[in-house]
Amino acid sequence: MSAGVGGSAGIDESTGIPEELRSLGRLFRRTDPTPDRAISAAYGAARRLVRERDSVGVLEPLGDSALRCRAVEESSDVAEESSGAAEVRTLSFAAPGRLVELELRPARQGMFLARGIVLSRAGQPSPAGAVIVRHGQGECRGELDDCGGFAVPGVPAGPICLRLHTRRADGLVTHRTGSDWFVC
Amino acid sequence: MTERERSCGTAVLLSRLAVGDERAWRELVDRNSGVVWGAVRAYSANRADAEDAWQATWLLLAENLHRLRDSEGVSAWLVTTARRESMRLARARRRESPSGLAGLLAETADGTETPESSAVRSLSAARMAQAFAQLSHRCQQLLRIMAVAPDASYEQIGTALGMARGSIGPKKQRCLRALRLRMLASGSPEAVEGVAV
Repeated sequence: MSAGVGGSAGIDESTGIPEELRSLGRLFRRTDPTPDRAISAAYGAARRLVRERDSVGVLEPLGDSALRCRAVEESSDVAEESSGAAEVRTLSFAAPGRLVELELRPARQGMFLARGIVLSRAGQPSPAGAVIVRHGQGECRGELDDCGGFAVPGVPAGPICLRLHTRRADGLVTHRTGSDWFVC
Repeated sequence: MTERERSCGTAVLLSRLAVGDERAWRELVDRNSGVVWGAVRAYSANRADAEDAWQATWLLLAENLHRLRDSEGVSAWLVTTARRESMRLARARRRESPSGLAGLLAETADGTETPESSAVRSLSAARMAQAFAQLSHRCQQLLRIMAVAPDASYEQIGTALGMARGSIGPKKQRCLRALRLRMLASGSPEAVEGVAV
């Protein structure tokens, strides 16, 4: 079998795939296969499919400091200096009548402290309720204080999503809103 | 598999999912895992980041599948999401560039010899890895996805890489030509005789 530099020789006629591509495929499959744990995690996502068909309002992303900082650095050629630094990341989300400011602060290795504040628009009082951080292994939560502040320790690095539950004085949950998954 | 067969198959899977058949979800994962893994690896600096983006992609699909109106859109949605989440994570974690096989060599060069690392250190594999690492990032992304997901359509690959479908074929030819040239330059006989990696 001969594969000239620019020619089409070396193509497997049964598949139409050039030899180099098949060789690369074998190489990647041997050296960099999809990890079994990743496949298991993907299979496990089916649990979310079944559970999450209830109606949950949307926490709409408004901003992410990681993306903003990067854009600024790229435009000012200072990306190299701060590369690799573990820094606090801030994100904001909007829900009907509410604004959630979230700060992800690196804690002990591979973990984050999520803290922030839930602001009410139009002069409404701070809501009672909780912020729940869902992650691959489960979830952790932080109750809102009188000012709408919250702290959720022990958030593992990896995919997470936020839930905001607000409730009445008698404890009944009145609204559930949730963000999409993102990786911290 | 043709686009039509792929779409019909996905439509059947979605209808099974709608009645709570979780095996259909596993089939959906199996059917798309190659191209999704290729997409996250193409845009991730290391395997740990790729796994995080991969997991986020499937979680997002699980929670948004009911919003996708037609079966044809599932695969495109997956690869688009995989790319977006990988790029977003790379920015958030301040990664400089996706890794090629050279990066893979570095990741496994910690003194722990595994079957994978010994394989990549074999002579012909190392030559191909070296040639591959010398390609442009765009060529590495394209060839990686085409290599690990040979059944992926140009539509899927274009979506995964943000490239026009019509440019995939010519770009592939240019990248393969560049790979052959680099293997020839390294004196690798596999470049002309086929590569037995």
